[in-house]
Amino acid sequence: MEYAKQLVQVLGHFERLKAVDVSGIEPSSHAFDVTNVWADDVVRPGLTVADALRNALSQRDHMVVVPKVVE
Amino acid sequence: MSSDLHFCTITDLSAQLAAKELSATDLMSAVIARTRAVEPRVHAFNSCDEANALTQAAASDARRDDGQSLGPLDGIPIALKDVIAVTGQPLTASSKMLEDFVSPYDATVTTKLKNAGAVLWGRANCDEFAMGSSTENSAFGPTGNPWDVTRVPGGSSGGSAAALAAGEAIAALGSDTGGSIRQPAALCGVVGLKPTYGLVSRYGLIAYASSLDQIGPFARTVEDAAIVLGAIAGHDERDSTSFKTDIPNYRAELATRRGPWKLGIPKEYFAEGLDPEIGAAVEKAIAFYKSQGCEIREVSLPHTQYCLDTYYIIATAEASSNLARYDGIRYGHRSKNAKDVVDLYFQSRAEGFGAEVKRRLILGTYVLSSGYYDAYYLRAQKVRTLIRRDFLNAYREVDALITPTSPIPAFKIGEKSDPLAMYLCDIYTIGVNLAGLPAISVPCGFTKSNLPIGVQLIGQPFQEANLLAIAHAYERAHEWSAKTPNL
Repeated sequence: MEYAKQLVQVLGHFERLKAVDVSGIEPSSHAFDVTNVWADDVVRPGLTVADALRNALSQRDHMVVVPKVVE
Repeated sequence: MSSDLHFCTITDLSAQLAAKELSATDLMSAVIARTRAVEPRVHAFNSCDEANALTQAAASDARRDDGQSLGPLDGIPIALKDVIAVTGQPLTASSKMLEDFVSPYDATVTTKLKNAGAVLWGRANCDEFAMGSSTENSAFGPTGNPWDVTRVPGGSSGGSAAALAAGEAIAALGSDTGGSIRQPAALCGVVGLKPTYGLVSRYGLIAYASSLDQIGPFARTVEDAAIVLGAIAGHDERDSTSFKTDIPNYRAELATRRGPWKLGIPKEYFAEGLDPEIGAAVEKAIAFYKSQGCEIREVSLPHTQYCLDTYYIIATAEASSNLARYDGIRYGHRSKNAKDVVDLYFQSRAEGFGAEVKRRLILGTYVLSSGYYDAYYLRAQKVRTLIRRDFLNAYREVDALITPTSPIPAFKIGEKSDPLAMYLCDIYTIGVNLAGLPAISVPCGFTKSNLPIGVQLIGQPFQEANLLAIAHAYERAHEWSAKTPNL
């Protein structure tokens, strides 16, 4: 309930944006117009399996173990 | 400058190291001794690896003995905010979620600092996942402000700022999404620089809000900040938002750019809510520039009043997406109480995240949800366009803007329990992130209670050399940076 009260207060504050005239304004997802950055499609050395799994709490045979999903 | 090694600048120490008047090992030992003495009161670090740091320092000394010194950062202890990856070292984001996480790789800034010979020292405390303005949101306890340990150091990079101010590091890196470098720099009396979005690679930085996050330096002086920025800036193909631009020698440029400059004062930044002592200190800084022949103009950033809402919609939306990866499966906290795999997600996140992170994830998910997306997220992105336009319009008339960094000095730990009141701490810093601009906070005085005050200079995109030169002109004529706290 504490969250609900706080979130309602913040969302109420957000309502202020409704006062802005945004007609004809393009949205910005970034500050700079950098789009379509491509990388060469080549294989490069990456993490070893051991390093990639180093922080997994439960693992077996190079795989992460999770609780049973399908009965 | 202080005669204590731990309060010296990179500039001073690198000269002593080069002249063999000092070894990197002795310097690191002095910083370790200082850290041991003050850390119980400050708690700037989540972890520090003394043996590892001394090994790095010994390697630096060996390089120098072989005539292979890597430059001014070789042997300098630099603290990293605990959201920047260092191979084999803990990386927690000050969250229970990543309490036992060990980084399997280096961030690009880490690699660059290693290549410059810096001694990476200490993972600095911060607000959990960099969400906050006081470092109180850390799962591992708050950091004390070295000027008054009962007060906050600011945030989210509060540990980085406090470590530097307390003499537990010679420089530090933080990340700045809405003011998280500049505001703690102001509250702790050090220099903090948020570079232009895209100047410094974010590869290996734990993501909070990807279109706003930027890594930058904390330093005792503007010159030191220029040295660290020079080491970490530059295009990186592993960060697709990293910008291809020439990196000047920022330190050398300080001597060549001497103004006078045209400086703009955004009238909206001197409105109600600004602490009068801070207002007076910033006015004095403005008067200084005027006395140096700079032209001072009032400018208007008419959408300033919408920055806070725009920021908290965009940042929480991006955070809700970025933090979806913490699911308790591949790494991070995994609940022991889950009934099945779906419950594992719920329980792991409920147990692993703190209150402020949960608030922001709920908000972010809400503003992106169908039915509310247009009203909140899309509208905020459009207002962001207008905010950016305000700044670019101002830059037709002036070279840089000058404002307070924070509306208030360091406040008491526990004083602000209302989230909205805490969000207002960022009122002068968030517009810069929304517009992707570079900005620096420089010490400009103290309150009557001896708490530091910072002035913020906001520059044009990728014009860090100019911004640093403007800041340097002020700093050179004042003694604020030489003051150190009595701890």
